[in-house]
Amino acid sequence: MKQLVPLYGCRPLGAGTPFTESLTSFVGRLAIRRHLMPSSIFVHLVRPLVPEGLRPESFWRGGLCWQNSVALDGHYEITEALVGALSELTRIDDLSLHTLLPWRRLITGQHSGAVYWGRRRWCASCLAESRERGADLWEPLLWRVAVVKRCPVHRAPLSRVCPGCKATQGIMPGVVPIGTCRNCGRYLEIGDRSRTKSAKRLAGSVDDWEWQVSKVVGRLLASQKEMAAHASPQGFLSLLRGLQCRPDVPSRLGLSRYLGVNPVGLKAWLQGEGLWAFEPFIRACMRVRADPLAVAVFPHRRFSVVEKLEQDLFLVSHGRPSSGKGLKRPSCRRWGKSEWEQFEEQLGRVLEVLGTERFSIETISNYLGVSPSTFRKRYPKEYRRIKAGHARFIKRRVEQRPVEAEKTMRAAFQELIDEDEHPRQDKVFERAGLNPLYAMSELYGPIWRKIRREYDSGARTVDHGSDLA
Amino acid sequence: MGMSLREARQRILNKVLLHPHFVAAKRDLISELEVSNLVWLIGPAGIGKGTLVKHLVQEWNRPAEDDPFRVPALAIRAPTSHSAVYPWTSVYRTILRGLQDPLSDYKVDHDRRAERLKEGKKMRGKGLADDLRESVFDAVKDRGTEVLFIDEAANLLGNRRGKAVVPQLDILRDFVDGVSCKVVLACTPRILKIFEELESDCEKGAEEGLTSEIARRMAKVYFHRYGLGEHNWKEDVPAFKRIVRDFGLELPVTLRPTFSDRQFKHLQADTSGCIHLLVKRLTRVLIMCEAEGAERMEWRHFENTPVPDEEWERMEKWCRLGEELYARDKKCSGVGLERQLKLPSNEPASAHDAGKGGSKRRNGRGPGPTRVGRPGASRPRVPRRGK
Repeated sequence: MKQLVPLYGCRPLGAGTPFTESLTSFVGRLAIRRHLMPSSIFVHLVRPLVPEGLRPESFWRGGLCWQNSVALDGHYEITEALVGALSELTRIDDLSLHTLLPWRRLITGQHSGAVYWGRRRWCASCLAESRERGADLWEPLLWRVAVVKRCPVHRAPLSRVCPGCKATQGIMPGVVPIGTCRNCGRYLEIGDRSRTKSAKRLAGSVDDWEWQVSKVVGRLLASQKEMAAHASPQGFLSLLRGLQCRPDVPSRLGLSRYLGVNPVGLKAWLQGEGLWAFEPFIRACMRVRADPLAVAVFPHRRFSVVEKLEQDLFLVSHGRPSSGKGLKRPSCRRWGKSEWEQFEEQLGRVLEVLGTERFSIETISNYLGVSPSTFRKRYPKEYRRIKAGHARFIKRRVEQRPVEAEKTMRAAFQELIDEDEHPRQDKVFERAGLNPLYAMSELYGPIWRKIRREYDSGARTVDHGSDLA
Repeated sequence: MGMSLREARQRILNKVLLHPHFVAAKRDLISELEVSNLVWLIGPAGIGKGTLVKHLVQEWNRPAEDDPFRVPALAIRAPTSHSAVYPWTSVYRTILRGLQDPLSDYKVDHDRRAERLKEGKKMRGKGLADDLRESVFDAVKDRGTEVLFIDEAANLLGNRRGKAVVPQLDILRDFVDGVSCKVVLACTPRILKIFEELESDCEKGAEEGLTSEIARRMAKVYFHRYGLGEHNWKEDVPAFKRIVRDFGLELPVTLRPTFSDRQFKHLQADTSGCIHLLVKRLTRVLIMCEAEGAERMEWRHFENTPVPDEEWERMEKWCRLGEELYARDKKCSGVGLERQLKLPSNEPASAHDAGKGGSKRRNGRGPGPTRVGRPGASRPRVPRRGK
């Protein structure tokens, strides 16, 4: 008799998007599909496949409480064992991408409370939209990450209690269908008052900060594959060391205040000891406006002088603290003659290596450790040269940006048509390597509408490489 | 060296012989499945319904042999029950086990639980009939099952008669409605008797809607046995001879039986023309040969392994009754068989076939009476040894 797959009829959803389904949610849906309680799956099917040493009695006895669901979605050894067992039971290979296992080398093994939220949270608008479309409901891993407080799409705060009975929800779905209160059986989105806020209303507030963080975490979750392959703390270490190498050499305390992280932790990180706690990592990246994804998956390698200088300058150029949390910069002491000599030497090196166009006057002056106004007063000639050169560079880039965006968008649109697929907006943006969250922005919106209009007007094929130039 | 008798016995037991009635029943069943969701495969005990079902399941499952997710066809046996309430849960559990769906004792229906929560009621236990039925529906859908065979399907109606059958039929109808595959119910002609009783009850005014609905939706295929020479199908005797010869090919050369026509006829009568009974008889003979250390299979071995009279009479009674009921039933198909065996043109066509007008029924050959001898005929005398 042939051996069939015991858990079937269900696959994890949202892989490769910010809304990657959590493994907890997948097991919950699987349990519903197979008409079982999730605890039955764990106790009777998963348990025999987990090695003895990794399955303390308390784990199975406790049913599916918070600790166990953290074990399921987390980045621990038991997660690996559970993922292995579930992969064997479902014959689905990439289940680890639905946990935080790819982040294992980046985030610390302690303080799981700092990484995971203890109860179920949900975005009422997301649930309502999915239910309206008649699509499958699932709970993204994003809602499990503690640092995420808002929905990256609707900008509404994540709900924590049932609007009907005000009960918090256990972490494991599958006892009742997803999106349903396990206490009163009502839909969780009905009567929820948290509403979508516009980006304009959010601007400059703490909520804006939360929204930005949610988007960043969403991007990280969308790149789970890259994270699994390349994630390394070395990129973050380079970032911190680069900041520390500034001419004004801020004290570690100043740097930790600037980044908004614990000075003791910072010391350990700089010395290459210990792993990153997730929230400080995101916060530090956000402070210096560095892309956490680029930082996290930056391969560990030795930089040449130019690359390192470029990287440092790039990071410093994004290093303005956000207006929301308003951390102060470390103060600089007054410079003597030797410092100004060092400044001149470094300025000459920057202009020689990188020219005057790549970086703004603010970036270079920040990097060199002076304010732009002091720079202007002391070296007016170099100041004007850099400013004019960078203005030319920016102008060129601004002119080129929509043209390049249109080109890539058209190419992606045409590719989809050639493949007989419906050129949906999100697909086109995904294919073109553009962020679909900005689809209706001032930059991309008109281009998309133009291409769409041409397509709808009957041409049905988009002229690839039209009169863009 | 040649094969041992034990091996030969095993080969005979495992052999699926595609004899004419088997092929005809198979073709009829497949053609009925194309148009109907519920098909009754009716035939006397030991005729080979189970073998046909196994053969079809094997055939339909072959393309998905390497697919660990799909089960295109599944066969189960309905459990017997003497209790007042038929245990549908065990039917559902058997299906779930067949589909290798895990933990059939722990099934719950989440939607129903959510409904009960909304109403402020308490949750119920696990593994109840409703939960199991819903999980069967989902399992059948997810495994891509296209046909579900239920052997011994008369058991599904329990030990009931007349009006008492109606609730069971009701459950059966709900099951067939809900499950997303075709259902084939294999059973003995006893089911025709039950339906006849039910119809006579309905004529008196009870539950008319239900029976008419069931009657409208189900198709019946009759699996014929090989009758004796006195009936209309004269091809049965040579066909039966060929079958015995084909089974003989599985034996060592020295053991292959060589019978006279009379002995063949007796064997056919003694097994009521049912292939499974023939196989049983042959294996018993082989066991005897093995015990005696005989080098040749002789007629005396058959003489010494007779079917008990009571068993034969019971079998004969059911065969006759089934064929009579079948002949009366206007809904039965069974046309492929008549066409293949080229019934004589004086055979009266049934009203159903004449009215149907379909291409395969247009030849006007309806299902004819297929009795073994005359009604109430006595068992034929055993021919003398060597003749």
